[in-house]
Amino acid sequence: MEQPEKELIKEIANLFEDYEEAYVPGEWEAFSQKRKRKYPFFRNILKVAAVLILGFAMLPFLLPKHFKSADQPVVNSSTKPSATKGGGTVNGKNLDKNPAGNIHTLNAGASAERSKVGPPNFPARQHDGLIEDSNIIALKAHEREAAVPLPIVPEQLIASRIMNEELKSSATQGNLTPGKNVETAEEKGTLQIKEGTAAGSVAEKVSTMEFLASESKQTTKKTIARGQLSRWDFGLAFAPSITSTNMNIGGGLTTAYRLSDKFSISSGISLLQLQSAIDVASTAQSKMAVTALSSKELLAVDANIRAIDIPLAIIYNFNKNFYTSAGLSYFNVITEKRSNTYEQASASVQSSADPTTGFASEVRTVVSQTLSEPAQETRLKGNSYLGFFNFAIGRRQNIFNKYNVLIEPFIKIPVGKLSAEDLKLTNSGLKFQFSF
Amino acid sequence: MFLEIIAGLRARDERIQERIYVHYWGYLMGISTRYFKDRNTAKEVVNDSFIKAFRTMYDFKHDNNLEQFQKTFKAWLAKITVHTSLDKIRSKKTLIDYVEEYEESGNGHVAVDDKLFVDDIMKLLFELPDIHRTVFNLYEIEGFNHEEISNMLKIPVSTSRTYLTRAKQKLRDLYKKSIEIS
Repeated sequence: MEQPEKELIKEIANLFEDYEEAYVPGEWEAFSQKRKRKYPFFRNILKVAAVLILGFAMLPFLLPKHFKSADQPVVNSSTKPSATKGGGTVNGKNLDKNPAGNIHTLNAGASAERSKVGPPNFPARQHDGLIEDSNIIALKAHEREAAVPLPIVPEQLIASRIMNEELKSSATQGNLTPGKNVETAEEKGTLQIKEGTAAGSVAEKVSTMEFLASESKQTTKKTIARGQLSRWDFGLAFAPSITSTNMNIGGGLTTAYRLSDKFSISSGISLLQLQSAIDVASTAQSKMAVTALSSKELLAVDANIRAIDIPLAIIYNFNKNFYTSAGLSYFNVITEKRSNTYEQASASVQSSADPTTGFASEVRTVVSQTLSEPAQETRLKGNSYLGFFNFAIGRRQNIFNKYNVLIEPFIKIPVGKLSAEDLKLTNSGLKFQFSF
Repeated sequence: MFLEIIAGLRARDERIQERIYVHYWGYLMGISTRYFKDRNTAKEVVNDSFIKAFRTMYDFKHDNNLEQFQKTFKAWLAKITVHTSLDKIRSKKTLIDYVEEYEESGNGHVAVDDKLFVDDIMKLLFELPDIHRTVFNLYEIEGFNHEEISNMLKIPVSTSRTYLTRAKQKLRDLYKKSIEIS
């Protein structure tokens, strides 16, 4: 039978069970310093995130050239003949070429990019010059999928027709190289741009594409520029609000990025001034005895807070004019002032003697007065919270086709740590926003 | 003290962190130094444990029973420290795969006549291979079972048992030798 080994081993276990070293003074201070160095951004991570969002939001304005050039289609007019099988090159890539020297572009919407010019949007974009875009897309698709002609679908046929009409009309205006015919080959499932003669050089083929690109250049630029601007909104906001006891004001900068026709994300930064009162009834020991003859009762605690509020919200657009948004905001308290209002009651005894009779009498009086004094305690100052849940419904009114005025009833409900604070910070109000 | 901690946690008051740190630092150092001979590493582990604890302690569940809170909060901090220690050991890869084979002495019982001192036992503990000492600490002192140790150290349960047996055997031998010398 195994002997119980509690002697040594058990003694060791007992020895260490509640063993603790003596605290070394200065460890907390060292820890605090080290923590600040180790996690300098931990407390302000949301602040940093918001600044980054704003920074990215400003990029298209600060570096407009970079953003435009990134989106502009580029067609190089390199005319160097390629040694590879098939003949002509555009951008150094092979163009599929039939034995008769005809250029076969793949159907104009055979790539994933074609979805950008899907059926619902196509007619409108036709006037914006995006037909030529589809041409370029066809080229890109060709480059990628040169060996695999894809079956044509009705929308692609439409795109082919439109493109051919454009080509034909351009040819009649003398813009195309004389002697070129353009025809569709819908039955084959591909768009064919035939050259009339076998002498059509690579340079001529490229110049056709160059022509199409240059035709579209102007309108494409405009479309892209308009698209970029419309995705971002910036604005100034002013938001009066009320808590359960006081009127407050706030204001700041806002930005929004359109994700789709229905959804946007918005952020911003605003300065809030919140005034609120503490529910004294819920706090213990509001009444205290100062002396035997007087007592002091805490009637109210008023707090005045200035804070930075950085919201992040998702906006859902019901239609062009109405929207709703929901999100959270980061809340950093910059200043906090509290004042306590007390009711002080003191008893006093007044003695008097009747001069005629000499009879002495005592009158006991209780004097009650209300005092207000600033409180030393600032529980929120310097703290950061995640913060408020924000909900709003808004009305957007476009003015001068360029600017928007937004009127937005909102409610802000403290969540997380902030909701556990003694102040009642739930507030609602009306936000007026001017965006551009 | 504990009422103050409870109130601070409830109010999510960051100032309570200092009280907690000062009160429990020694206890957590006691745990950490069983895993790391180097005091700086042990301190680092304790500080990392406090950082983890401070992040989540405001949501610490308790039933406002003061006595119960003292025990559970202390045990919770200890658990964090043990896990942080194991993370540190893993990150430093100080758990040596090679394990010294001991000769079976056959003696599973060593009586302790005198009072044991922490420093003396620490010296004995640090003569054990890291993996043996870790298993011994986890099983005998922290109270984890072999399955839990197996999961924590990613070793088979049977290996955990073997390491524990060898650790205890080695400790007995070392203890007997230390008595003979003195």
